[in-house]
Amino acid sequence: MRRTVITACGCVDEGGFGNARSWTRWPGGVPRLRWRMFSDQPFDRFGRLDLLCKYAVAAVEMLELPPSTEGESRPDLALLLGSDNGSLDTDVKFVRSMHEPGGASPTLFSYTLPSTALGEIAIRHHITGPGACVMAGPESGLLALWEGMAWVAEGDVGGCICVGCDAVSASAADAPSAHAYAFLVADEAAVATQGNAPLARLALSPAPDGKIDQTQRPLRQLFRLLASGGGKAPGAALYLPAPATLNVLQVMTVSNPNGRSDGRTG
Amino acid sequence: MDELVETLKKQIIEALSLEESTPDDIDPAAALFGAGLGLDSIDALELVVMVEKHYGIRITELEIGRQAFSSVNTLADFIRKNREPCGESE
Repeated sequence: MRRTVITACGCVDEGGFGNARSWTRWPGGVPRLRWRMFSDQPFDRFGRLDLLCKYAVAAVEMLELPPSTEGESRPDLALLLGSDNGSLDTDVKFVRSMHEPGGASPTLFSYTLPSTALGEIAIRHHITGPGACVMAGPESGLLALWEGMAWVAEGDVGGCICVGCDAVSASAADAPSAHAYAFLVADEAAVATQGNAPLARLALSPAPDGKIDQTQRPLRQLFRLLASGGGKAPGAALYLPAPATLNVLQVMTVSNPNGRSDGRTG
Repeated sequence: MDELVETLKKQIIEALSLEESTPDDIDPAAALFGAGLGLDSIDALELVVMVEKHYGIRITELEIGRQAFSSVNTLADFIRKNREPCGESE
């Protein structure tokens, strides 16, 4: 088993992508972020993405992956997305559009699978390694991180981008609920060879009692730990829910040249 | 200024979520697909829906759609020829 490290992380939350017209909690609404606030690199399609894809793509952009040129692929880099709601937000919009004059929106239809977010990320960064989408309740993002670390540790891939993302549009009365966390997991030995320092070395293990504090969302906790540099402290640990307590709803394998088709089920 | 052309520009931006574009950025004579706005096949379907939604015109034949969606100008001409006399845009 190889030792894995997190070398980069990114986070976007609903403070950025608010719908200014419908979010009434703040006077004047929340400013709507645009792609150029995340990156100097052009991305003409960003405005056309659905909310889930926008958040996931933006968080991954924060990993600052080395640019890859057209025609150059990354077969040794995997993608994992964990999402509680998946494409539900777009699913609802699509169903509603079926009753509008002119019929259902083709654009919305193309985003009625959560794995579309993986496709958008893969296209943008020329990633051709295995990918999977895990829907397993509120801690799906954490499960994606855990699974990604396992892929790297077992030598299936050289690295893995693990994304935890959920996005639900605002209704007239509610604030939008959305967040995306992205982590770049790598083989520690390879990172050392390249002269890069790991951002964190964490002990990820099931909580002793098999439970986690649901008020401390683990990905947010992890991101704060990494952002503060706390991940390098001896004994830093992140407790995971025991796999048996997870209720996996759906595991979608996008592509898998290594022959693994399983997500973690429990 | 052609009012229908200007309306179509705004409707295209809204329908296709072209966040970084303004009506002034769209050359009404330029190709919508390929080198022009760089739209793709999903966008073409979305434009078909948009035309029916706003103008009540159904495009069911590929070749008719291909000609109509050549540019904003051709789309405006197509709408003028095919909409009902009282079917003004929204």
